[in-house]
Amino acid sequence: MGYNALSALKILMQFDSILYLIGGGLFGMLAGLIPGLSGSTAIILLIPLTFGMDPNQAFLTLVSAYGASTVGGSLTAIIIGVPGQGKNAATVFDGFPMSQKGQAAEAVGAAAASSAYGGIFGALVLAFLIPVMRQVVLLFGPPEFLMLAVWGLSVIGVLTGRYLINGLIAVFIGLLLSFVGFNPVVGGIRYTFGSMYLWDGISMASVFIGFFAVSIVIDLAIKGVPIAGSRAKIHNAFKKMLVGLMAPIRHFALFIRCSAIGTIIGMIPGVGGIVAAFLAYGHAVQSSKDKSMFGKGDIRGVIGPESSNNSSAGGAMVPLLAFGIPGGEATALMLGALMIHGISPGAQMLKNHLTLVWVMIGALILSNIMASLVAVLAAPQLVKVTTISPEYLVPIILSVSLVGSYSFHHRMFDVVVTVIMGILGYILKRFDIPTAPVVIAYILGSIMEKSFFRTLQIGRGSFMVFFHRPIAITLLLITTITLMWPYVSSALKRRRKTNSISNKGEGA
Amino acid sequence: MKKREIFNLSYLVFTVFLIFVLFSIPVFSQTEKNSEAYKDNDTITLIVPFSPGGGYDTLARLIQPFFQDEIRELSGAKVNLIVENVTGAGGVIGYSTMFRAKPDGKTIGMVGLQGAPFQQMGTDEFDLREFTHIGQANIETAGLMVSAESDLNDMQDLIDRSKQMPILFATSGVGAAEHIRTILAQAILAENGIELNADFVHYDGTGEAMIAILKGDAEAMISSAGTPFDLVNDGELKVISIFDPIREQRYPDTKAITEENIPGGDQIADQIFGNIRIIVAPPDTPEPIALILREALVKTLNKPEVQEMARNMKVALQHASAEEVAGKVDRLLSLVDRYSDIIMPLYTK
Repeated sequence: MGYNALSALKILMQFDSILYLIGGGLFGMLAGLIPGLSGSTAIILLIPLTFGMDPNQAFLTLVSAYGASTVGGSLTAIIIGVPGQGKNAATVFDGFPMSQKGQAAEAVGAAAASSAYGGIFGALVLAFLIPVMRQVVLLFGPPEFLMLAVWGLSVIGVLTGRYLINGLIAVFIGLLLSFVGFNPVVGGIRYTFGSMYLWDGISMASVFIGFFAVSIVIDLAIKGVPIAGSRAKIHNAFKKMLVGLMAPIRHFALFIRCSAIGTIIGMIPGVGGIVAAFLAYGHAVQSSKDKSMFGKGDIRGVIGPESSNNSSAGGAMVPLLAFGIPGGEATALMLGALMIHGISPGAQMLKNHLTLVWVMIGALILSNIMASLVAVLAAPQLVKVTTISPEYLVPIILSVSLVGSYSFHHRMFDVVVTVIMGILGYILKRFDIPTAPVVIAYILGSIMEKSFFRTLQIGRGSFMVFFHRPIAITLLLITTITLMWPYVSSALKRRRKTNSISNKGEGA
Repeated sequence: MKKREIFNLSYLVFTVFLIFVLFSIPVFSQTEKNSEAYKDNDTITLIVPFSPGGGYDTLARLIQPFFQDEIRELSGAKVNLIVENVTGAGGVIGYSTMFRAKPDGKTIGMVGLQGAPFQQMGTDEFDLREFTHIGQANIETAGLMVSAESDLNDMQDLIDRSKQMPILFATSGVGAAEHIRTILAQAILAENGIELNADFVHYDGTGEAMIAILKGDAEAMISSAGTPFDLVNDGELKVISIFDPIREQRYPDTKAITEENIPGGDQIADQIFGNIRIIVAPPDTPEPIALILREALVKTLNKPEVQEMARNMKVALQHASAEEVAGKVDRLLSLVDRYSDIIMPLYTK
């Protein structure tokens, strides 16, 4: 194994490899940046270019694009509040408010550093897991996914803002949105109003672009002031960004936990960076004593999702390399590319093409570092966007976002749905209904429902199946404890107070 | 809202309106009429109804450059063939798009006959009989897979075990090909007096379904024979029956279902298959164009480079002519008709 790692290193240090790494990475970053395009888009476009290359170089290009794209997506998420791709959505919740307070540079610094370190974490885990990859993937199935989704939804409790009822409405709206379409687990078409285009549900792109981009645009247009406020000037952007760079180190334990969450979730086929980012955000909120700043610009709300979504890339490659079963869209494309190059993923690949596996791991690490460096260098200029008047910003964001929503299926229908989602998002804002629970419920709602029914199908109609799934039960316990803890700890505190008062009385 | 806000809002609405108008211009622009089949710089779009990276997409991109060259040679025009993924509704959106496209030779598509006849009956968005058929590109038999550790070693074992407890089949979704194959097998066996009891777990894709079998969450799946190949090689899964009269080369130790002399086995081998992928053009595509496309397809599939790449990617290429395809389509549609009372409920719940 060491020999293969060394030859991989030699390959990566070659001049043309470095060129491909940088080229693929920059391209991936750009695709991640533009709302509506994503790392997968970059891979799709790059695959034909890699046909003539040898497998090592082909895959270092593709993996580099994949790794760098998440960093690109975080930039737009923070600066204009529009996630460049789905997995950067959670970064908006606290990244954008920081931008609105004029702290965009610090947020970008934190995101870049978290992404780099998180990406390295994920790649290292991938490397360590090579001998036991297969067993790890097999640990998770529908009962575990169900518990993960429940845990994720439980997080919403802390994100409801001022009024609990508003938070509940947000959750219900998100769940409703997730129910639209044909349910492949139990059959049945819901809320499609007869349209074939809604068969697959309201597309995630429409929800994200609509809720974030379009509703922000509406807000900007109506208010008429720049993102960072009417008299914002960005001073010392570079210095502030350096402060941000140290953020994951300052909150090291949180960073490690969120990277771990991302890597594990990324390993689960069918669930991806998006869920990893949301769960990490939720964990960041739940695990902090002072939750008051979340949603208003707490830097931990940037560290969490950004370390998680980058580490999930490493995780997503585990089922791909172990079984040839892709963890998500980007890895599905890589699977196709592997087949085109005549390589069958699985135990065979780990035996015969181990050098290539190391090249891919190395590319993942290097592309994360490179993309973060680029982000850091570009940040001082990029953050000035927050001072641009909406007259210029609104048309640009709007047209890029709508074109992005069109780009998925080349259908105007998707654009219309996006606009409707945008209007819905704006209405929710005006009524003080928080967006985070809507988006979380939308994503986790369908996972939860499908996993629930699949669990029952596996158990042939009975719930007994849960009792044979230690991981699922553990997750359920963790969720229950995290939910109950605030009540339990304050009850304990009260008892201690009462005891000490009575003790004092007795001792006096 | 304040006056200033309403003012700003109206500007916004105007901008959105403008963007929509700009998008619609291409729709209203005129197109020229062609006198020959193809002209230089014409773009032919090959619609793939599924996402990039999957079996259909890989096959399309594999043949694309060679198909393009053959069409150029036969038509004398420097045309461009591009692959476009039009996904959704399990392929129906792609099929519907191909069906409604202008029959000018600039749009063709790939259809999978393991699902399309059923989807046609269920959704009524296209008609396989009305397409202008170009030809078949690949065909694969169906195979029954189980975990390598399973006690089941052939179809008879499966049927026997199902009498004690229904076999838990994994599928890639309600109404997906694996689901339909199993229900059809059950129906055919039932007609011959054999009871196969089945329960189902529906996943979001064949990959997840295979992992389920590896984990033991599900017991079996009837898929395209090539699907589990890599995992069989790794020793994780085994294919215990091939739904064909002859054994499959890739699994020489696996019995063909006809060897087991199960009543209905011959019918299963005849009517249940893994996949059949065909190329179609919209209804009423002119003969000259159809002829060019048909001949180009045959030549493409016969090219040694194409066959070698297909072997490397484990894609089973096999050509059949437009007439043969039309025949298969008819047979499949009457099959769907015959079993419509067990199939239709899957789509119309």
